[in-house]
Amino acid sequence: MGKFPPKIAQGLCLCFFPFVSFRFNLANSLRGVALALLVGGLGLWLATGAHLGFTQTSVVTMKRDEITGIDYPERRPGFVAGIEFPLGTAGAAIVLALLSLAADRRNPAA
Amino acid sequence: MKIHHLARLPLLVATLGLSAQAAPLTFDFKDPKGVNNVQFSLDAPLESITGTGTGISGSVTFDPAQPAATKGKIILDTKSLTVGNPMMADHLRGGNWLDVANHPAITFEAVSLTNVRTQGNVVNAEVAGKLTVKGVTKDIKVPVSFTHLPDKLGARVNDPKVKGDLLVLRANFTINRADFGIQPGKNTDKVAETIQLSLSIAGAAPKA
Repeated sequence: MGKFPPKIAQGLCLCFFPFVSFRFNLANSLRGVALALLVGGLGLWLATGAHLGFTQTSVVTMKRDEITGIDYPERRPGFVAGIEFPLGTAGAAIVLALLSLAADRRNPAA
Repeated sequence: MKIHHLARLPLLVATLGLSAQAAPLTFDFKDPKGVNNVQFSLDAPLESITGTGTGISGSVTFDPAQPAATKGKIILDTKSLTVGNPMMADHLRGGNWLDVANHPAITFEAVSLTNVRTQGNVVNAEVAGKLTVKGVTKDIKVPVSFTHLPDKLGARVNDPKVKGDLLVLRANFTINRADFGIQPGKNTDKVAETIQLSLSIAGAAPKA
């Protein structure tokens, strides 16, 4: 078993568990927000059914009129997060992560 | 002589009864229950865009004894067309697409019926008519099924005192948006030019 490079371990910890060894500086705050966005966007998308299309603010359920036999859509308000949610939040998280790296370079002592 | 006339009376009554039954009925398609609907679907790269329209009105004159003589006009209020995504719905109703502010209705006027086949209370036929979308009128042929439901109006409105018939129309067909001046040749990478339409509507003909 080779020794795990401490710098990589530190980086992974910082990325995935920023609050474990949280220090109040700009870079860590940006990473925290990035992680929250990533988890929040993905979680919301999964929780509302992992819809691969665009976001829907109304939901259709099909019903049948007994006398005429007509199948008709009943539309009611409802929120289904679209694919733009995880993609958008992942994009924003990447931007924030890059900004956090820039903040690290500006102030390496922090 | 008088007896002879009296003997003919039942025949006369029966004839009148038959002619009254065979008279064409005018069905009003303004549906108080809000069940009448048209569903549309367009292919798009990410998902099929599907939507509904419920603002249907119009009338159809249908004679069960002579279905080939059916005439009528169905009107769809374009403001009632909607999809699940609000931004998409705004685009759909906007000036570049259906322009509902200037074109408040989509109409179909039946001109003639061909290939009429009757099976029980169901009539299937090819309906030739004029479809007007966004101010452009085209002659099209649509396969339509007519289901005549005699004396079912009372059951539908939950009032047995109300007498009358119902006529259910069903049609599935496709149109090309370019034929009606809707973004012809544009945005074909985002939305298909072919629109699948599915119509399910019921009309009522009350009896006095």
